[in-house]
Amino acid sequence: MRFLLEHLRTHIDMPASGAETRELLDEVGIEVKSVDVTSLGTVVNCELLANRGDHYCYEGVAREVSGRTGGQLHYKKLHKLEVHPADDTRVKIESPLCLVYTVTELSRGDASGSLAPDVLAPLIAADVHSISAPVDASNLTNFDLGQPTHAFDADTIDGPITIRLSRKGEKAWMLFTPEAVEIPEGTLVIADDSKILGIAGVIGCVESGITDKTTRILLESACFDPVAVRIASRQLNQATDAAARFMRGGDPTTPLIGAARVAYLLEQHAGYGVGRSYTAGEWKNPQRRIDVDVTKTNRFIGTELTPMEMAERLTRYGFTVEVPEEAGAALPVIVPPRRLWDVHFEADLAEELLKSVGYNNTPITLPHVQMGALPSHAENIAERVNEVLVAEGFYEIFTDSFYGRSVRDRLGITESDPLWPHVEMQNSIERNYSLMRNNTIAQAADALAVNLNNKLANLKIYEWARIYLPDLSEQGILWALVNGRDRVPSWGDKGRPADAIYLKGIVEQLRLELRIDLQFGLADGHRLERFFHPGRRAGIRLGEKLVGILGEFHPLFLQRFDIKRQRPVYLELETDALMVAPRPRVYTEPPSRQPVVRNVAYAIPAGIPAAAIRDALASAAPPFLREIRMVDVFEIPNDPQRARAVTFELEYLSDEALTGETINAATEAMMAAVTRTFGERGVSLRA
Amino acid sequence: MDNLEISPENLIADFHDELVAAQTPEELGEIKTKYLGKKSWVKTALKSIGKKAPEDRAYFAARVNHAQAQIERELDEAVARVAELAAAKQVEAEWQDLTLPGIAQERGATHPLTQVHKKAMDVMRRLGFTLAEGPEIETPYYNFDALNIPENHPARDMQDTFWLPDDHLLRSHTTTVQARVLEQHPPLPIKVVAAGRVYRNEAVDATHLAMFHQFEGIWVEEGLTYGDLKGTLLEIAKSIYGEGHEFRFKPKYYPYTEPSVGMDMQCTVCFAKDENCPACRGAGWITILGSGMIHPKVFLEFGYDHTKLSGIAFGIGTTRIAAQAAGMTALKPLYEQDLRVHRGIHRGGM
Repeated sequence: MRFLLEHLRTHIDMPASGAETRELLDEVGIEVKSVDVTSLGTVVNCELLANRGDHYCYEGVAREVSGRTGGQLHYKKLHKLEVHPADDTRVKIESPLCLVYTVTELSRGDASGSLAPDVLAPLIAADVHSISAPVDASNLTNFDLGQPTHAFDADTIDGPITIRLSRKGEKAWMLFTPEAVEIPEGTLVIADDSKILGIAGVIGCVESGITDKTTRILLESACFDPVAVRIASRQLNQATDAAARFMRGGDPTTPLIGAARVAYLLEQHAGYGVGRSYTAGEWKNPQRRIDVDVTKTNRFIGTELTPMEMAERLTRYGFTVEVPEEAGAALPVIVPPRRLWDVHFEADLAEELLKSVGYNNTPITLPHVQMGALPSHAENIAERVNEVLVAEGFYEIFTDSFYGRSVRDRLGITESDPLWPHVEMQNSIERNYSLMRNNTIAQAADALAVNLNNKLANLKIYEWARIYLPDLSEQGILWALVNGRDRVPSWGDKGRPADAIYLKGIVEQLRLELRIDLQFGLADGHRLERFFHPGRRAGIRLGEKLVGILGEFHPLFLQRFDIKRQRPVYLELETDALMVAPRPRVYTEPPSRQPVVRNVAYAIPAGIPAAAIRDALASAAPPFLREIRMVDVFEIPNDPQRARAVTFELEYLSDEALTGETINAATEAMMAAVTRTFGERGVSLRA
Repeated sequence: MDNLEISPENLIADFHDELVAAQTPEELGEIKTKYLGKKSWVKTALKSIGKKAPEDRAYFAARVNHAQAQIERELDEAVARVAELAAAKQVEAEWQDLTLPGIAQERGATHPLTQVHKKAMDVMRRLGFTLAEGPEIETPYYNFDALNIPENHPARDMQDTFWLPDDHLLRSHTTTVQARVLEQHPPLPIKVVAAGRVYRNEAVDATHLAMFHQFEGIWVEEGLTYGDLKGTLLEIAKSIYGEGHEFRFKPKYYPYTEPSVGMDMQCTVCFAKDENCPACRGAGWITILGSGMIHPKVFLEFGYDHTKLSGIAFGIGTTRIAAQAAGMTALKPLYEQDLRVHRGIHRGGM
């Protein structure tokens, strides 16, 4: 809301400069977004608290300032109204959602005046255009006192004014709209015998609105239930100043004051005549009393206020307080009607006192802390995984939790695919956020595409992410994508291709770091299996459970994401799998003897995994075989079976001295096992 | 070299000739063998001393010993000289251009948000807080109703919500986790931090995101005060921003706290001295977190006695802090996958 500082000064004394004003308003919770010097004066643009309807006017802001500074409020002049109870021929309240309703007769007579520019300055400062004297006076009054009013053309009203709920199919032609629209049933409306005159607390209607020809006015000034106003405002998409005020809770004791101010302005500045006022409904809610424990409150907010000082400060905000004579007795505080909507507890009054004293003027303490806390297992695991990946050159990123339907389309899946169902956003204002993601491969591929466009082909990224499943459950995953070389190529080290074997190495490092039994095997059954190259993928298992997948993306998948001449590899692991309890540490003394090593090399045709040969060797191993390692692999050029040469290093170790004959015999036995098992399939020993 | 007719003086002369010509450790080794080895003239001469006539014996022995000592000394000197020469040659031949970039596996980096989270958690753990997690897909109860944001209250407008099927939503703040923790009634004191992604259904621009990160905490115990809240917040702020900053507190409105408190940090660009400062827009202060004492209605909702217990609650927009720490004015790049951004932040010295 934009306040004119010079006009605010007509309500309360304010500091001399804009900067001091800004500081003071910030201190009382009215956040200043900007201070601009204009031809009208200094305009202070404020962001008001969402729960304080009473702040939506000059007097409300002034009262807040008074609470802090103790300055006196300067009240606006009012017309002395002649008030009568309204009978059913004038006003009928048929819904308790109307708390108070008044109408005041105004007559234009020969008056044709309008309000002077200096009077209108607060409206102009707030970018509100002058329309007519009655409308301007109504707007000014709302700005000054926070009491919305509305002017009806009295000659258009047919029968008594009735405040009731709208009926099914009923229409209303709201001001500033092109045509009548159907009003949701049950909306609180102002009506006469033949039409709806206005939506209560929100907006008036065209057919009863004042025009240049209007001579007799009925000025409505009322108070309505906040929730009813909010629902109507939202359903009809009418965000008016009146609605903003009422939906935060109006003051049921000020309708006549508002009417009196409008009457004063019109009479004094525009020559209007003022007739009688009629009131219907009566504010019957009992007073709210809150007993304040002075000692406890002082301790809570860090002050040493006496009961008298507390009472004085609360009075500045409009609370009524009688200081009890008995020492130590609770302070009875009566809540003013305009604050019934937000003041319910002692804590609410503590906040008022704190504002009055100043949030920065109380002591700063730190409660006693007996001992700190340790990171959880999950936090430790995340930290160690981060360390492994960062040391390997990975950058952590965060991607959106959602994407558009076009992303799903690019996955190339159909409605029968298990990945098709997504949690669908019901009201996203951005098309790109229509689906909650149920995978991260699409975003990983997009991330690669973005970087390729930026000429960054060497990429290592990872994310701790969640995916969202159609049953509205969530699953944590760790994913990583690598493209290009296994290290950033330099003038002296080009690295090697970052392929699925590299990614497997990363998982092995994680397995070692976390001491968990992740095993590699077939990826069959993984929900992402079909997006990977069939010959370059592996499932990751924890026990019997398939908990992840790694491998090279399928060429068709890359085509769909328009990724050319790249062979990115992707890893996904369920985070739960990383969080399992680690294996206990077992320390083994280094052997006193040196191991003996023998190398055997085989030509292994394509399709036979090297691990199978290793297993065959192991099947015939003596007890003193300590380890079989694959130490060299290369493609045999021009081999008709596309065979690879794989060298296995056999390490023997025993507490007893091993002779050359013993070791050679053991090696021969293991090699014989390979020949038995794989000889017919073309596996042959290399010289 | 067993000709004992050769005089030690002649031997030394020959030795000098060969020594001068020697340029390598290998050549020196050969000279050493020749002049001091088992079959050398010196060794043979030493063995022959006993066969000399008694009157010649002492004189001959002295000359041989002198020759041996001289050869040994000069050989040692020559070894040192040749080693020096060899090292000099090697050094000259092995010049390396160290203006070339170094070669090592380039480290990556955790995300700036993770780094801010870690800093904040470090101080929270010192104060005894532990981390709690909760779902991002939530019900309106935990996101709104339990937190004193009833349906049709204007406060619901403060957070434009992403709605999901079956009356679910994406959490608009991590306060939902606090609600779930309070619901479980853990033993007092309750000291819990919740952190993670939150969502707002807003049009996205440089400074507004539909998804961002928050870091929140609650501390529930008997006797906590507003002063304790301020003390705790200052500890957190200092751990994140470091010492030497000015902070202030101001009234705010959050439905789940009363009193509600905003915490500002003096603008680190203009130090409240430039009315046209682009960072603070002339305010001199930048709001860094929201907080307050837990609202009695929240305590009542979960069956706590609000007249006996009090609680501190605070929430930090870690996205904004991460951007500030990285020297970025826009938030969106933090959530983009452009590695140039992340390498730039990392190498910019976060």
